[in-house]
Amino acid sequence: MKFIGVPVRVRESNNPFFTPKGQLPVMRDGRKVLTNFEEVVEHLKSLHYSTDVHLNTMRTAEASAFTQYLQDKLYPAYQFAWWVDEKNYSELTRPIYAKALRIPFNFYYPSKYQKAAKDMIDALYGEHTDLREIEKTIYSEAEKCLKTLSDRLGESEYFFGNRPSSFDATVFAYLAPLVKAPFPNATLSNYLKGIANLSRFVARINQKNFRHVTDEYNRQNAKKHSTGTQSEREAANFPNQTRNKILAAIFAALAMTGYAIANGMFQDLKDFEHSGDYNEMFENEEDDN
Amino acid sequence: MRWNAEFMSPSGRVPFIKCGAFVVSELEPIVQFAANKGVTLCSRLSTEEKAEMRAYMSLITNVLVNAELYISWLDEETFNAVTKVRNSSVYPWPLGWLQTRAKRNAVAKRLKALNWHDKTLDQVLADVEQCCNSLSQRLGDRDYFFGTPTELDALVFGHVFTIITTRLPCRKLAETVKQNKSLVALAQRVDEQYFKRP
Repeated sequence: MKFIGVPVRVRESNNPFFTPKGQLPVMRDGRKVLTNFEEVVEHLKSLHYSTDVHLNTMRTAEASAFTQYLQDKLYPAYQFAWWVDEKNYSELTRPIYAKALRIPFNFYYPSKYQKAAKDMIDALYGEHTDLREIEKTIYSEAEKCLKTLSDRLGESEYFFGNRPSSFDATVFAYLAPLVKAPFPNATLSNYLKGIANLSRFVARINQKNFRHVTDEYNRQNAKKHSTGTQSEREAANFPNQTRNKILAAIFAALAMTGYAIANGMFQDLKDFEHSGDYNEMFENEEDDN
Repeated sequence: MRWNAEFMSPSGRVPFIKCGAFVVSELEPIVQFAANKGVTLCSRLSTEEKAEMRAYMSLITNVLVNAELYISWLDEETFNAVTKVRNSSVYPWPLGWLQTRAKRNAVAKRLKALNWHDKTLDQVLADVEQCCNSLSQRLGDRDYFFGTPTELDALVFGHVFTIITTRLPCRKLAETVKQNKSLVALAQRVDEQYFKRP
């Protein structure tokens, strides 16, 4: 969204209970409610906003192949890092959710998502019984995938030519949290940080499209250094909050991000976030920040 | 005695090959194994082309494989008429019935995890169609995806040939794939060149 300059207003939300399908994020245009990336891209196309006009059919084919590739290899690793890895789950994911959601929801959703993630890992890699072995397999697949992406990107600015496409948005959505989130067990993020051109890619998009967020985050981080506790500082490492000062808002954004990742829908979120005007907005429940 | 092919494979998945004392299973390890022996199909591809090849291969494993699983295990008609009969025929009753049920549950679980379980047949076919379009656009009017045969061609051949030659009560999948003439032509070419029986 940000890439193509669609006017959009973002309202932050952290409770999937009140959304139409029980999922976040949600986009509204007039009376239309859209809940996933494909729907949103279709809808934008019908409004003559398109990210992919400069791609020919062959490029489109390639983009869809790579999208499937990411989903095939990187998404399981994601789910694993956020939900299945015990250390990450108990020290990062669960606290974020517990703070962002209210009673009684914070007892329900984290375990629901964890169960979904565990089921997925189990179904895909069920033949290994040892969790260590699964971890090794998943991460090595994901590392291969990242390596491939980096080969494909080479030294160019975006994946297809010098204009961003929806595939760049997808990649950014997959990679940014890996770079930013303070995982206690950071095998995958360390690997990603080791690949120079991919981390530059993330930093570049961050600079270009989400600059005010980054600035805000830096300011906040500086302030936290003087006052905040260790855990608060860690939480603030996410660059996704738009409102400063109120800690609750930070946690709301964190939860939204985490949730979206858990649903593989981070793409839309990233695109919609942090824009100026309004036409469309996120569905929201009582947002009292 | 092991009857169904998947139980002969050390990882429980097909395909697998036996080479002297080694039994190697699944496509990637097999390719690796061959590469260790000095036989490889993609040595002259650039890293970018290799990246592209891997992406297309996972497009196939993601879409075509799931569609095949969906049709053969979750489509009631095909399951009752073909899959159930074939899968359980090698076991004595009631083992065949039990094993088939367990297998069906495992497949359903896998598809659920990938959000394929709730799709309708039409949605599945639409995905397949999109996948085939992408592939045939990539293929263009060349003989093989990258000029000479690669793993990708082998994988496409394996799936497309199986889909168009297997008789199922549900003809829609084969029809969808057959709409892409260039893929069918590729499958026939490979078949004639490498699998011609005298």
